[in-house]
This record gives sequence, structure tokens and C-alpha cells, in this order.
Amino acid sequence: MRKAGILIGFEIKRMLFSKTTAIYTGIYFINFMISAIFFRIMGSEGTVLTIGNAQSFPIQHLQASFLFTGIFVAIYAGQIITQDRSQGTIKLILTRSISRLEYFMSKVVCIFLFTVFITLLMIVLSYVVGMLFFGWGDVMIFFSVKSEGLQGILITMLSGLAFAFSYFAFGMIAATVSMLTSKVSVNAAIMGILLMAGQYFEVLPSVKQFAVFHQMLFFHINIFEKSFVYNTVSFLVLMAYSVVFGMLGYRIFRKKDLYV
Amino acid sequence: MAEKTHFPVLELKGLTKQIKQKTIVNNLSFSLQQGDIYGFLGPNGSGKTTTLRMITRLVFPTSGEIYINGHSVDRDYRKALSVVGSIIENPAFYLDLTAKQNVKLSAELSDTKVGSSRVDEVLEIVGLSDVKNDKVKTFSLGMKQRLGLANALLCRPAIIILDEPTNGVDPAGLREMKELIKRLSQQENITFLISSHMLREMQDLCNRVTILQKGKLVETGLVHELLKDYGADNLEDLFFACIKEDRQ
Repeated sequence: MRKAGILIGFEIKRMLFSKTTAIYTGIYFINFMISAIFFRIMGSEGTVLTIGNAQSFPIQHLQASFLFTGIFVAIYAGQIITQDRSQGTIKLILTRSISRLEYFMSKVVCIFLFTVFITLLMIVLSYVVGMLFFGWGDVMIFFSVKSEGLQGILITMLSGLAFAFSYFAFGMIAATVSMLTSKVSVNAAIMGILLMAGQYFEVLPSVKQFAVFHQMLFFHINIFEKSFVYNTVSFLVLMAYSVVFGMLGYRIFRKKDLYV
Repeated sequence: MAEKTHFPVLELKGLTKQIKQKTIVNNLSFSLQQGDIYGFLGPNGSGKTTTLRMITRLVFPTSGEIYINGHSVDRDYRKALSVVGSIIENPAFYLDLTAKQNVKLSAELSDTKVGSSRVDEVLEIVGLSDVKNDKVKTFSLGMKQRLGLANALLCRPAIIILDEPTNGVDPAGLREMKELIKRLSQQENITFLISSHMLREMQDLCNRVTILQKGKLVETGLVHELLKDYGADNLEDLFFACIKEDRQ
């Protein structure tokens, strides 16, 4: 797995310094600014915020970033899978006697790291915007959770990790779809449609817990609001999505003819 | 210098590739000996590039076996591919990286230990030392071909596979590339398998040829012997004689 490590390092470096990351940063920043301005004007009635302070700002914005983050993850997963094929650079790698499993695993790890990175990016940016508009504040409030200071930051991070995990499961679906398409735009469009359609699972109470879209919206909230058993099931659902789509994606890639 | 082995450097046994109902490569068998320069010839769509892709494991054969230095590409691909350098179809690199960064990445991914000095050395061999810190996106196709050759040379391979390596190379670059291939074959004992449509250049370069048509082997052997057998003056005449004979 030494070679997979090299590929992960290479991809992460490219991701951190890419134009796309700069664009995502800009989009989130503007999004959070708009939210803060609306809260100033209209209060909690006009925004997703229930309280206006920097320590509550990031955790309250996670769910609101559902569509943006879903699309960004789909684009990233599509990009790192299809770009090497469309630009032919996969030859540079696979002809160096690297196994397809190592190559595929490096992509899976990159998708996971991307979801963690983008969540952290959101959290940091919203702390900054929150400070600019409201100051740190006395207490962090998020549904039934009340906290402050370092503990509040840790709770935000834990929620962020849960959020990132659910998007990783979604990213694995995007990676599998991108094994069958050769264009990032097609992959992003398919995943965008799935994202919008997936929200309708919310009207089916008996199955919604098993839909990845429900988890993308609520897992990071439910870890504080629901029982341990409920959250264990949710965690296993997300694991199942990740593993099943990971295995399916690898199965397609393992014997895929690469006409590059 | 490439290590001497008892096996053919490359051996294809009954190699076949079918896509849906179409047979792209049909029961292809031939072997390459160490230090030779092989011309891999055939009209468009004869299955040359697909064969080269199968040798480098980018495409999987429907049936048949490929051995490199006695190692099966299917069962022991790490050992088999560790002695292969290649440019398949077009040299592909990360355009936003420099020439040196691309070759360095390739070195890090190889099974053979390749030091930084070897990276500089191969860039020097192909004449890209002056532009090694330039991004590949600024390179012409000819420069990319040379960078592809540098990358292929990196791990001191036993065999180098070049698919249309003269695409986009100017006449001076072409002469340099031919001299370089001959020198590497003689001094380093590297076997070259070169696919090209430039028959005149191939006649200058190759001592053996393999000719394909519609995925089938039409002819293989030493160039001077085949010229004699077919009563041909040059490789072009030989090529068309083989193709014509096969068509009839």
C-alpha cells in the first residue's frame, strides 16, 4: 500500500491548491455572509439560524449546505475517478506495476479526506463569518445541545465528522457512477438529480432511515437527539452504503478495459 | 544495462481480444528477443494499439497469455511490468506539473529504486534538461514524446514499448530519437517494440518487424530476410506485399 500512500499524498496536494477548492471556499463564504446578513435583518424567521453567535454559527449551517456539499462531493468523486481516464494520466500510474486495488483504494481514501476537508472548511469559514457579524457569544445552542467554549467547538467538530461520514457514503455512490461515465458533468448531473429526488424519502417514515439522503440531512443532528440504538443503525446504514458501493465500484474497475 | 534472461523478453501466446462480437486481435503469437528493435506494423484498425494495451495491462485479453521476462502479465503483473517502459497512443502527463515533477512521481510509483539523479539523467538523455522545471502544459507534442521516452527509460527497463513515438516530432528530433533508440538498444541491451506508420523511418531503425492485419499476424521476422523472401526493395514494398497477399 506504499504506492497508494504516494497517490493519496499527490491527490491531496492537488486538491488543496486547486482552483476548484478556491471556488468552493468563495461559494461557502458568500453563502454564510448572506445567511448572517439575513439574520441581522430578519432574525431567526428569515434564516436557518436560531441564534446569532459565532460558536453556534457553523453547526447550524451544516444541514443548510446539503445541496452545495452534495454537488461538491459528487464533482470531486467524479473528477478523481474520470479525470485520470479522460486525460490519459491513468497510464502513467497503472503502467508502473501498481495494482488496481491500490489505485482504487487511494481514490476512496481521497474521497473520505475530501469530505472531512470540505466540512472543516465550512466550519472554519463560518466561525470567521460568525465572528465578523456577531462575535463569539456566550453559549452554543444546537437543538437540545447547550454548551460553550472548547466543549462547544468539540461538539461542532463531532457533528462535522458525522456530517462528513454521511457525505463520504454519498461520495462512494458518485465514485461508482463515475466508473460508468466518462464525463464529470454527467456524473455531477446524475448525482444532483439523485440528491433532489432523494429528499422525497422524508415522506416515507418507515424507510427514510435507510436512505443516504436522510442521513446526509440528519445524521449530524441525530447523534445528539436520538437514541444510541437509532444512531448505531444509522451508522451501519452509512457503512453499508460505503462498503457496497465501494465493492461495486472496484468490481467494475478491476476488469475495466482502459482505452486511454 | 538490462539483465540477460533465458526467456524471450516478450512472448505472446494465442492472444485474442473480442469486444462484443468483433474480434480486434485474433490468436496472436510472437516473441521478442533481447536487444532487438522490432517494428510493429499494420494498417489502421489492425489491432496494434490494442495489443500494446494488453501487454501493459490497460486492456484485458479475452484469451491467451502474455509473458514478459518469463513472468505472466496476468498472474505476476508486478514483476512483469517492472521491466517495461511504455508510451501508449499519446504520452499523458499531469499538465499542471513540471516535467521533472511528472517523472519524479512516476519514479516514486515504481517498484525499482530510482534516485533523484536518475530522474535528472533521463531528462538529460532526451534533451529536456533545460526545460525540466517548466510545466508540461507549455510543451509541444514532440517535447511530450521525449518526456514520455524519459519516463519509459526511468527504471532501466528490459523492454520499451513505443506507440507512434514520432507523432509531432520535428525532423531534427526524429533523427535524435532514432539515434537514441539505436544507442540504447546496443549499449543498454534494451528491446524496443515500436508501432508506427512511418515505414521509411522504421526501415532505418528496426532489425525485425511484425506485421498485423485485421488483428491477425501476417508476417514476422528479420527485415533483411523478409525483404529477400518477398523480393522487395524496401520496407514499404514489403509491407504492401504482405497486406496485399493477405487480402487475396
